[in-house]
Amino acid sequence: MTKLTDFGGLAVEGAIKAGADEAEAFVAQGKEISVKAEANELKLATSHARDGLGVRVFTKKGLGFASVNTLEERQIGEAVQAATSLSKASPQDEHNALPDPQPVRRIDGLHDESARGIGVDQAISILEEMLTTARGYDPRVTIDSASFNVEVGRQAVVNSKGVRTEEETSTLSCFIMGMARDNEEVSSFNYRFDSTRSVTQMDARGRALEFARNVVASLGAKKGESFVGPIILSPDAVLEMMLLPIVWAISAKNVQTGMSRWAGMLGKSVSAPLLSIEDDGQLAGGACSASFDREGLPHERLTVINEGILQTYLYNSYTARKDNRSSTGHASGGTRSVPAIGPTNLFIRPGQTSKEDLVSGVKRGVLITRFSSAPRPVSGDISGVVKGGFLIENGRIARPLIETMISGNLFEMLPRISGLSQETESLAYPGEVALVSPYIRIDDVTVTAG
Amino acid sequence: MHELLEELLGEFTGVEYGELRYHERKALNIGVRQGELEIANSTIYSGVGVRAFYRGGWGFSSTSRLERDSIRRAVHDAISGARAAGKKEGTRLGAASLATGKFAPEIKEPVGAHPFEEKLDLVRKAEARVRSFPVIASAACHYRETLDHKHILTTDGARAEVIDSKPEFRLMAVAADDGQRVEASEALGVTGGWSDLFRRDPEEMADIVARRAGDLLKAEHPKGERAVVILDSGLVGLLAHEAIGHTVEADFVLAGAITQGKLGKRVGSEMVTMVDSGPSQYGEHAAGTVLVDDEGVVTERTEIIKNGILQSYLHNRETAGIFGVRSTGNARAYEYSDEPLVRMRNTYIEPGERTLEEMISEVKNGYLLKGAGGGQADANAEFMFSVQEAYRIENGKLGDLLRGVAISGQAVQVLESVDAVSSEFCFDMGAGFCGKGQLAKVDGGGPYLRCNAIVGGRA
Repeated sequence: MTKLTDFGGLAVEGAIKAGADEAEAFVAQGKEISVKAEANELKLATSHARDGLGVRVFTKKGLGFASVNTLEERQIGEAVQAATSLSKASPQDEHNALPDPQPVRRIDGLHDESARGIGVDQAISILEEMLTTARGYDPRVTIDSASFNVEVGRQAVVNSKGVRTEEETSTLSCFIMGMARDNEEVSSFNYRFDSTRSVTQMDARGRALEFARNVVASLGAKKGESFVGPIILSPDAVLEMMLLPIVWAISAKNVQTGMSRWAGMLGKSVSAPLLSIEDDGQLAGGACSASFDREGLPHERLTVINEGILQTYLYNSYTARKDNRSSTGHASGGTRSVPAIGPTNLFIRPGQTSKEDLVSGVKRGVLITRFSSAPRPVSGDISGVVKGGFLIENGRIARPLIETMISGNLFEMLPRISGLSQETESLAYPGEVALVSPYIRIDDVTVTAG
Repeated sequence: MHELLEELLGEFTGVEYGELRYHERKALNIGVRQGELEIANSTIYSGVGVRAFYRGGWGFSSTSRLERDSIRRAVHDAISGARAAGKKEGTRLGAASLATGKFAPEIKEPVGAHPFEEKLDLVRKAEARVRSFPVIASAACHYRETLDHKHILTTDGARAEVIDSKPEFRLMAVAADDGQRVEASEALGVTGGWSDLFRRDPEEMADIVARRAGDLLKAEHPKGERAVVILDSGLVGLLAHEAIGHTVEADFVLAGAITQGKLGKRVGSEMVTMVDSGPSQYGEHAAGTVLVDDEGVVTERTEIIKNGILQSYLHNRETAGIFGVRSTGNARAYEYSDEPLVRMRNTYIEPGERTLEEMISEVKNGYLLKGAGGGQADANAEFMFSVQEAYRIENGKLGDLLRGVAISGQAVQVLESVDAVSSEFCFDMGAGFCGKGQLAKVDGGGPYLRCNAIVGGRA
């Protein structure tokens, strides 16, 4: 089999010949099998073969980028010409330069050879088991859509400074979404998803059962009450309410361009001391792990927030050069775009309290298991609806809620974190996010009933 | 390509239906943030998506290799997928107006006639103009154009060649003061060419977005309450799309959405007529314009709600077959490697006869809400949207600007509460995308609408 780095090398050499000063190619190839159910029934079996190459060039410190979805020599040549010609028309930026190579350590557990052996028929039987598990839990469960995917692929980075690296990965993922319907009453949508690197780690049936439990538990929901008080976020709600503003605020790009609220906050308190967040792209078998980032550099393991104190931002090589430091290995993205900045596997350190004790300490509050909002990461303003949630009264879960809104500013809420559970849950969505989080209690939040 | 696909249609044996969709896309993306060029991307990709249908099951396969053998292999993978997934008796696809010939929107001035240097210059100037306001801490500007060329052929007769052009332009401003940051944005998106997109002056938009961010920084937060609200066209579009539109997508209906069994029943006040249209209405260039869908079906104007009564769901050929109606032309795929799903196009509420001034003057206590942010909605039509600007209305008079909020409610109840609809109309969601596992370019809009909703605020 031809190595992907050979195709990358072809693009890099072509760009230098065309007059570029520096060039980088990111190459990806993958085979995917995917099966889907809709409206409670098996619906679709798909198979795809994907190729992609993105080439970034700098000419006189001007940026150009082009991508194609094939590894044919002629089309690679066209992409190289397109990128080079854009770079010649682009303004000079002194920070435009490619990184020098760094030693890359192979991360274990990112490729499971047995994933290659899963065919359409086996994928269908796994999906059917998800459907029968969820529907078998309670006949009121109705599945809008469910899917099971297996993807085996390779990624490579080559640049004109000597970076030349490639690795093979496998990704299994499952997703189930739907609601419970009891005569005229329709519960809120809910969903579960998971993503793993190995076949044995994947528990699609377990995710389907959790989904069914959650939608049935949300039947009988009634309007909430308006008050200012504590809320407890489940790991899902942490993902939906807290993650985007935090990830936005720690991106060096956003810090440098004045879009992060945490600009100038290194070494300062951004949260209650209970909160510590780590990012580990080197985790063996991690859903967002890789031996190298989008620029071919190893992911650095970082403690982003330690006991409430902001420790570092996430850097790619452009932003690192601007701050006169080295990249943390957080260049992200695929073949279709220039490297951006993104987190890898995020961990919120658990606390000392049990989940039950977090609830029992609340006189009147809300336990949020699913939150729907359109977060505004620049301001940190949050205003959204509790989609899955329960009213807490006198330390007990009283009943499910609907039409309840939560408003506030995340950055102002973080100092009011008053408890983290010992228990954690793991959430992973292929290529996008991997989070391990405890339940988190935040005090003095505005809750508005409909 | 058309001839090769025509020939390969003959490979579909042992299935009830086969479809070949060649899709070539050329895109250019330019992004400037805080004076730095961060994106200068040219993307070219093409491939063939192949679907087969058998006993209620679909097989789908795609390839970016355009030679005969690779496409033939994809056809055979799609056939085996359909035969593995198809387990029902008696299913059939619904009738449809199958497209033949060439379809292209009217484009006055192709975006390709303008060189990269001109586009880059426009983006850089607009971004710099936003930053020239002292209150602005950060600014960003993006231009993006997407040019499509498709051939869609089906075993039962569609033979369509489809051309499309959808440019977008967006500006963002961040005002900062004392650790606080507030953002504002303005965006355009159309189906059409250069002059169709820039019907507004980018520099004027830069002034608007910069001033708004500055004003919002000084604004107070509203308090949370259920209130009379007047929604602008962007928010009405979002309400029509997110809160009602998704619940009438026939695949969601089959999965148990709230509109199941409600055809012919009241779902809104008599003043509400809601439409999802493939062709652009009230003007030429709505961004969600689709002349032929990705099953090769000629699109139409689909009346979803007429005078408050639910009239129709949105269908692809499969759901049309299940409901015993004709396809409404709502099958859409974002890329060649995406399978067509039931998606919206241009979704809007039809204008009425009132003026905004009259509508404000009759409100004792309420809000005028402007500028759609993100939004989400549920199968039970419960929705949540973020709003850029809120103005308090007291005793028929417009008051101060308040900080952006979120509004929520149950869409059927909100539509039932509608008591005034303005005659002004516009599409205002053209720079947005809808996500349903894959993206789709959609548009939405409408008149000003007065109704009841929950406004999320601070105590």
